[in-house]
Amino acid sequence: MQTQDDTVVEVRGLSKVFGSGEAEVRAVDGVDLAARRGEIVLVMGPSGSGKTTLLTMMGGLLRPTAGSVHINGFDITALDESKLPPIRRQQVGFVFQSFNLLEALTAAENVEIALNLAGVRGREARQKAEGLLVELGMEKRLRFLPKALSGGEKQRVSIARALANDPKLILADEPTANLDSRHGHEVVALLRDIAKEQGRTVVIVSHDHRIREVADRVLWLEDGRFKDIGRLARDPVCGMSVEQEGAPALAFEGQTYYFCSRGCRSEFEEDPQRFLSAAARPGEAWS
Amino acid sequence: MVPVARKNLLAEKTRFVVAVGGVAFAVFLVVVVMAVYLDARKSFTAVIDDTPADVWVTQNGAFDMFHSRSSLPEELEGTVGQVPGVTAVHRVLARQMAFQTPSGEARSFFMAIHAGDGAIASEGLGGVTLAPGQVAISNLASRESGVDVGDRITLGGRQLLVVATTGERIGFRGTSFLNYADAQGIFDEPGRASYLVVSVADPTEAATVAQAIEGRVSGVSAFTQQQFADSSREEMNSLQPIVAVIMVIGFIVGGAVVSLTIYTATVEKAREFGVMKAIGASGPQLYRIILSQSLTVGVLGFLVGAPLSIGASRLIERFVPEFGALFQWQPIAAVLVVVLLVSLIAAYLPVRRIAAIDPALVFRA
Repeated sequence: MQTQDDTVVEVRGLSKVFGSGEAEVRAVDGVDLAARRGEIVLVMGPSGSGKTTLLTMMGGLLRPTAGSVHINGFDITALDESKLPPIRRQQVGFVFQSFNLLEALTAAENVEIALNLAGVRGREARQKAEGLLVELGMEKRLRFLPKALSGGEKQRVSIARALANDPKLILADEPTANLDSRHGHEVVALLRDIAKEQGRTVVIVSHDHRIREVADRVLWLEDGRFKDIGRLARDPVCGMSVEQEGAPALAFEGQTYYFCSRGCRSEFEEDPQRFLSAAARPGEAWS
Repeated sequence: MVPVARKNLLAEKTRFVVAVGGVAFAVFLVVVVMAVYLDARKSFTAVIDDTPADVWVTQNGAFDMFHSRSSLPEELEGTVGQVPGVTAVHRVLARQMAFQTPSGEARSFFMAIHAGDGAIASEGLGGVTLAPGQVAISNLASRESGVDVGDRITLGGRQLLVVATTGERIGFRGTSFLNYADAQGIFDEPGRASYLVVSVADPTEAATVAQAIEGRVSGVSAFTQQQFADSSREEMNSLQPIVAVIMVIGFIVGGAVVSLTIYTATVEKAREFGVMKAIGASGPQLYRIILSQSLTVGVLGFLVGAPLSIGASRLIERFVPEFGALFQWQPIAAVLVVVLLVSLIAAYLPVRRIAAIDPALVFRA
């Protein structure tokens, strides 16, 4: 089934149920999502909300219990298992939380292997792999093994690998979780460039609020379902996303702030300016 | 193509060396056992193979040279010589005997071929024709007894001068050569011969001539050279199951080493194989990596083990005269083929392990 021309990925009624009977867990429950070319979609939610399960199904790594995933118009959920590797090679690029580089291969080889799997061999593959890494500022680390790279460098190699076969869709799972602030910021900027300058669709699953700054849309997944994101706010003290309804709140200088706990609210009350200067945006509805 | 298989193997060098060493040891065991067996087979009948004869005539019922006794009247030489197709007949006396040296007693298989011009008798001696009172001692007997050219031995009560040593080891003890007249006296068989060796006009017709000899001469059996050698080697066939068992054990050990090594490496790299699956590697692409690893270990093990077995055997031969090993390229090539097959089979478990890897596991931190 074909989707609209600029829609790169479309998820319809996607569900994933693990176990059965009393042990049944609905990790993802009837989720709908569509992302256009060049769009960055950030999926947030508490641990165990189904974010990663959703991402693995979107990438053709996990079979849904119900629903469909269309990538560039093709329903990948209708494909045989044997037909999925080409989809993962050509249509999707993965960026992982723990980088997942092959430890025995150099940075350049980690990218080259992705090209090899897609049938690109020899000098062509080598040059393209090195070119991608150079673009990402890794020209001095091409021959380094992963163990000799910093976290930020590893993630750049991982991103170069994800881009190797020129996929239209990048799926990133907590891409900044294992990085310090500076490297996390660099990775966020890279993902933004990948979407905005290269026209790729980037779907990110993350707890990292820094990514909100570059996201075109932020979705809140909880108990396997997207919730009304208009009711979410950011705790200015700890940075956690909280549902406005039922959360401890405090009015200050004409605005209402929401907190994850009374403790955070008390801390805020003691010195509001300290937290407001950290660019907190109270009660903002993400859309 | 990025050599993932090689890089994975070399990433853990100690394990890699142990794996190659294990396969090399198994190959070493198999090749040496095979070479010893082949040498024994060849040596066992070398005296038959190397004697320039097309047909061997024995006393009726005698079936080989070592385990059955044959005694023929000398006059049969002329009778057999009249059979159509026969061009020459020579009498042979042969017997296992002990001999005395200044330092003690030793044993050898002694043989004498009657020939007017001495040509056949000297065939295995590098052209040396033995006069009465002379003996060519086998290399093996020489090394065992310490007797060398110029020494004297006592055989059947007669003093003999060692004038040569033979180059070939014959049978398990080696063959020494005597002058025919001396042999008649020493073996105490006047007017008798152990065998008749026959040359025929057309060697391709040797079987027909052998049948003709049996038809025209009563009380004899006639074999082509090949038949007589095969018959003599039958004794060796009882060793085949033992050799086969040792070889199978060797291959199992080698296969187990390859399989365990590759399986362990696969389990350790399970996440990385999951990553490769996640980024689009198909099953066959991953299986090729495993097979490549398995074959690399197998081939390297062979390349180490086969030359090592040859070198070690040569070294052992220097110090243990009884030890012999015959290395031929065909059996060694067969070992390589089996090593390749075993390596492929050894990849089965790792391949199954890979097939079971869930690529979604890579999303778990």
